[in-house]
Amino acid sequence: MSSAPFAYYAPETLDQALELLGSNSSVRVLAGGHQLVPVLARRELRADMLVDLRRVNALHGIRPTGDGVILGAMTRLQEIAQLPALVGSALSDAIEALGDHETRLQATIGGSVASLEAANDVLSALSVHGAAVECATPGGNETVGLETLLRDGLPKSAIIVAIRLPDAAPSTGSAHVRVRDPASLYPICAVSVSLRRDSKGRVKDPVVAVTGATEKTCRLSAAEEALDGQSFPPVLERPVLTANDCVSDHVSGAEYRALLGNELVRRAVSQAASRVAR
Amino acid sequence: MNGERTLGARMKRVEDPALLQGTATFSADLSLPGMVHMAILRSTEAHAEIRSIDTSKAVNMPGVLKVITSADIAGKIMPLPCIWIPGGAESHFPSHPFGVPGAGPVLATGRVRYVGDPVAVVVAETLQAAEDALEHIRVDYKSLPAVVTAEQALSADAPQLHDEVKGNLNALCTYGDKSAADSALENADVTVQLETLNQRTINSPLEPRVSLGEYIPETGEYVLRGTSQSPHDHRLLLALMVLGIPYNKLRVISPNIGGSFGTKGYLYADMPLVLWLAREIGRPVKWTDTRRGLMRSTVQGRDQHMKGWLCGDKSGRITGLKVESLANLGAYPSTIGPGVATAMVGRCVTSVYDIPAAYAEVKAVFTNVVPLGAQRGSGRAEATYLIERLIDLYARQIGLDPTEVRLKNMIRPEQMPFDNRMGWRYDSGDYPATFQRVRDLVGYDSIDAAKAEARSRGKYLGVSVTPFVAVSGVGPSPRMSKEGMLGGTWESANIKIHPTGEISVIIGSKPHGQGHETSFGQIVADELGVPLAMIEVLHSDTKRAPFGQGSYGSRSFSVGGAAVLQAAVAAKEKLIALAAHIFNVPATHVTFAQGKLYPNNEPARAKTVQEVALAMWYGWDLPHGMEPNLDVTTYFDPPDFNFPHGAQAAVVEVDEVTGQVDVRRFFGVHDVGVQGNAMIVEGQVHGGIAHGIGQALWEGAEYGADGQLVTRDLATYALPRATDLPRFTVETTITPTPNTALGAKGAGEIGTVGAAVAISNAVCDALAPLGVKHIEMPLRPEKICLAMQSAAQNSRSSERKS
Repeated sequence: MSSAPFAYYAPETLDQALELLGSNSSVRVLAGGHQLVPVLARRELRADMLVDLRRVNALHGIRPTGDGVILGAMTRLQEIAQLPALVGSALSDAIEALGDHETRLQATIGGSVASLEAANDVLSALSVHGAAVECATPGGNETVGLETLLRDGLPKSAIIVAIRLPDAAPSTGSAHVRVRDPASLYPICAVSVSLRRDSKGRVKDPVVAVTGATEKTCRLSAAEEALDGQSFPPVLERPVLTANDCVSDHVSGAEYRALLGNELVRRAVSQAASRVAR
Repeated sequence: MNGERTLGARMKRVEDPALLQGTATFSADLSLPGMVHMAILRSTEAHAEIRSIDTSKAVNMPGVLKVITSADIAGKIMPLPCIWIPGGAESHFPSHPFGVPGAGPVLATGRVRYVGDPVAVVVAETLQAAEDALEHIRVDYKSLPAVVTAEQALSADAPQLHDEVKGNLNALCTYGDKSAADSALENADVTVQLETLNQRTINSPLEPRVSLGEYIPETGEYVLRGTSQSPHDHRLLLALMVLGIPYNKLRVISPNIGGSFGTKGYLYADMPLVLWLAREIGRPVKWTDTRRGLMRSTVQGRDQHMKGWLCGDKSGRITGLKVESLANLGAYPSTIGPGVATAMVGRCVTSVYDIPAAYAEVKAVFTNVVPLGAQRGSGRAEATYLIERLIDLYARQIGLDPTEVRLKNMIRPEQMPFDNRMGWRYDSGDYPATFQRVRDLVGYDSIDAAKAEARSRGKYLGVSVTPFVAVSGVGPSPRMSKEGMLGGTWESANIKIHPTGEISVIIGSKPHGQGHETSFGQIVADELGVPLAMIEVLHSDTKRAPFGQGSYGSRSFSVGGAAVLQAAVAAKEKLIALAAHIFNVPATHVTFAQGKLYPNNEPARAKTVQEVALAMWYGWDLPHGMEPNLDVTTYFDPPDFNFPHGAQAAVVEVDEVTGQVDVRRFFGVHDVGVQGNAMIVEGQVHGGIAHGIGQALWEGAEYGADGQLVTRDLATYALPRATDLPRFTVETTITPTPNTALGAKGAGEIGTVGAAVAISNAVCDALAPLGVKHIEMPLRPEKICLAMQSAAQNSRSSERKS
């Protein structure tokens, strides 16, 4: 199949890209393209114009900041999973679980965040890493916390410039576990967990996020509250997700997603706890 | 050769470098000068009346050359025919002007009957232009009620799909002895029953279908290039029954094609359309399908709604079997779909067992879904699934080990040839031996320890050992005519030894991944004692090959290979006859060894095959009556089918919380008789096993109640992936079929036949401690969780009662 006709631009600056983005109501931004291109080719989505970001230098590269790292929006996921500071973290777990090697080499971190699709391992993992998203808009740059992004979506006419990732605090472990749909390989349910052990051997700052099972990627405050202050290794006694919280579709019912969610929270907590440096 | 036989040797496939490195031309790569592109508008409705079609806008779009609907081809392109009429009590088909059973019009006429039914086509300068124009054809549909399951289609108030077919019933076929089976069930100590849907699967070859039509005005010849696994069959049917042109004016060429699994042996609307349009437009016309197009138009597999009753005594002796099945044919009878869906199920239900009273009844039914056709192992896999599930239930009911029950009822080698009382005469094989071997391989006797260890990790471990036999090698033509096949099922070969000694082997069957160029070459290399590198195997062009048929029903090597051996033997005899003349000795005094001919005990006087072939080419001094040259054509029609068999064992683990199934190990012992290339056979078996595991765990076409295909692409239809599967341990035994001189049995489908039920039985075994008896395929984790939960509830409520 071939896509319906569209205009194609590959600007070299962010300003040009923003201008093109504002020039037409049916314009789509092309980052890695692993989601956009197939739906265009199948004519399930139409765009009058594609703005390809690959030539915009400002969006490329990984820069350390002293207390973290700035990931240019066009950074390929595979590159991120291999960063030494991230090996054995929720984010690298999440990336390694995606599709296949070729997909991970093509997909970008900015594109993964921008898609905001319901089942999004990367978003869920970024959420427990405390990431923030730097966006360029016609009115100037603005940095949005991931929680805000998950709640409100991207600012209007914005292009994601970078993802800011703070370094993990000492004695922190994180993990991302998932059960995938065997067809799409998207998660039916995936859970990310990050937790810190304080000097008294108790859980501090637990963050738990779920994706795939719920309508949107979201934090699981019930799990976080239950974990906070527990002595290591923490254990979740009670369910933190019910069928009412979950979606039902042809892949899976809400009951099963809730069952998976509760089990995966337990498994992710145990995995994250085992990764806390002694 | 070092004394080792070429036949059977694990030689690397000669076709692989080109196929795997992208240098081979696949159908989708084909291009001809001046070629234009066709796109098909497919129905978006499962069942609707076509009130009108407005093509006025599309026809005026840039680059568009032609837009046609059924009105444009009326009387010019005939409906497709169905050529396998189930030989049962009754059968009913849509009509065809030539009096053969009809398989539906080439373009929907007045009514659409499934989502995907071809409604109109556009031909344009580019594919892009053709696809753009499709969007501007307006079809005014009046929706009609749709029916998607066979059971619904048989109900009194079901919508009627075809005027000529009352009650949507295509065929009612019966096999075996009904009164004997009924009486066995009546008098039995123990009866178990199972109702199960062997779910519809979507055939997913790597390459979707392609048709490229060319018309050559100087000669009046039509050429169809494309994805055909039966070029000769397609030639006959298209020329004779669809286009009405002389047979010798249609040439079918099928280049390398990326897999098929049975689908590309069927006739599809695009084939006559590209040919007819090529003549109308005066330029070659190409159509290339997409994955989504394939999923709603290429024939699908399985879809048997089965009920089975198995009875026996308390010692594990099976006394009777009764099967009733509803085959969901989809909207139209596909080319051979009705026969596959009936005989290949009904005659196979007793599998490897000596069951004194058995009966099967299959109803083939029309519904508003994609037409049903073959899928690797068709019929046999469904039949095997049912009997093997039933035997597990029976063994459990009487408290015996299921492997003991199987052995107790299994046909023994001394009973061969064995009349299975359902219409097959099993040829040869030691069924208990392969079964015992797999039972040993899987460590059946120490499985309890493995189960206990798995429990300590939160897993339920289960095991299965299941035998199978799979009718293969279609077939004896006279017998197939009695099965209702409108066509011959012999196969052909031609061997030419060139004056320079190279050998061309031209075959009537066609590879679509099976490695014919290697394994067929091995037959000739072995017989004539020449290196495989001296031999080329040519195929897939009806103008080059002798009359032939095609590849289906695991027949290529077992039937076509026998034709090749016959030709090689004839070539050898002629070489010996000339050598005897040259050496001036009787033919019986000529030794033929390792590609050389010499008078017995005088190897120093040897002449090579090449030298004798050159002498035959010159023709200077031939014995009286001998024609020059070595050019032998043979036809082989087997006296009977052949019956590869074997047994498989699976070890699975089920997660106690999530219900996720992990296939830990898979074993198989397969007997395909004489092998052409042991590595190729092993590869076929591996692929077949993966296919069967796919059906057991993941695959399943899902249609909404409105007939819309929910699993419409590979993001919604799950196929097995290499990373989901364990390493398979596969062994073979070799029991030649006595039905051919080659002794080969079918090999391409056998891996699939037992694999799905091997997984299903292992999962049910794993969950037996919970009281789970049966879970339907595909064994998705959610379904398994529900089964575990309801079993737990049942056991709690029965505890309360006691």
